[in-house]
Amino acid sequence: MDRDEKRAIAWECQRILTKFCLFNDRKQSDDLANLFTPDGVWLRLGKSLTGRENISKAMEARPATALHLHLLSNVFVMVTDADQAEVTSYKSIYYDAAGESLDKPIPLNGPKWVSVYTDKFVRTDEGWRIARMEGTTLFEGEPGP
Amino acid sequence: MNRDEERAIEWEVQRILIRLCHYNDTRQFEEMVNLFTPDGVWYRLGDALVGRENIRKKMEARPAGVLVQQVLSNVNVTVVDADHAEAISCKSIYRHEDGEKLDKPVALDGPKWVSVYNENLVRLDEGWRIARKEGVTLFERDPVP
Repeated sequence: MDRDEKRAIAWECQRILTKFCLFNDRKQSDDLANLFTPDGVWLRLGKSLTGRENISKAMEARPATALHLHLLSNVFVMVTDADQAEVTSYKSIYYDAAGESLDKPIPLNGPKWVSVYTDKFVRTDEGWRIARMEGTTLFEGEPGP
Repeated sequence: MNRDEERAIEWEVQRILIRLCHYNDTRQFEEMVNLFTPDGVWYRLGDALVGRENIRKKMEARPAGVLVQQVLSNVNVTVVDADHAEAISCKSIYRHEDGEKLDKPVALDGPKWVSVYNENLVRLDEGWRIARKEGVTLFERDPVP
């Protein structure tokens, strides 16, 4: 595989993660779940969410008033072959439990969490999808003012 | 349009947004406003700035000593057609009054604002340009006592 092909795969994987953050922050749970493979696994907060329906349900179970903003960075794509890739990335996550119902802007006290993610991607007929996602929270902020 | 063509547009649009931050932070306002279409509109702090000249005047009216760094992330590009695209992106904006006069680094209290932007871009003879820009500040840090 030449660098042009690898660069194209890296871009596609990064694009999926950017969409993951957008759909997560906008509570578009089904759109988010469809970024995973049908049997995709998300190891989230000590639970293993398997399959799109379970991922969507877990997202829907979040409080409607919670405001999240996932800032993605440091996306490092390691192309395994034409149909598989492994990706590490960082997320700085801003959060307010009641933020959706508050006037903007709301008080800022730094990111609530800073995390590192390791994801496995596969190429499917629908395009590149997440087969496995796992995050580790490295830093957690104090409750806001 | 195939994915190779779409990916090229996504790359160009992201590059425009990165340059916008760079020219903003380095106060290269002529270069900055030329990233808009001649009749481009920027909805900024309650004002509608229409056209390059009005955008440039507003930028030049900002205090000269303020150090600003706009950290761009999460650039989500949707290609509408060969000549139109929409982008959603996030910015963490660091700011320090009189920062340009101080030895670096200046004291860090986290980002001053965390915002989400929506942009419409069109392809002109000079390349991709911003036709409409609008942002929402989700988080704002209070002045440090």
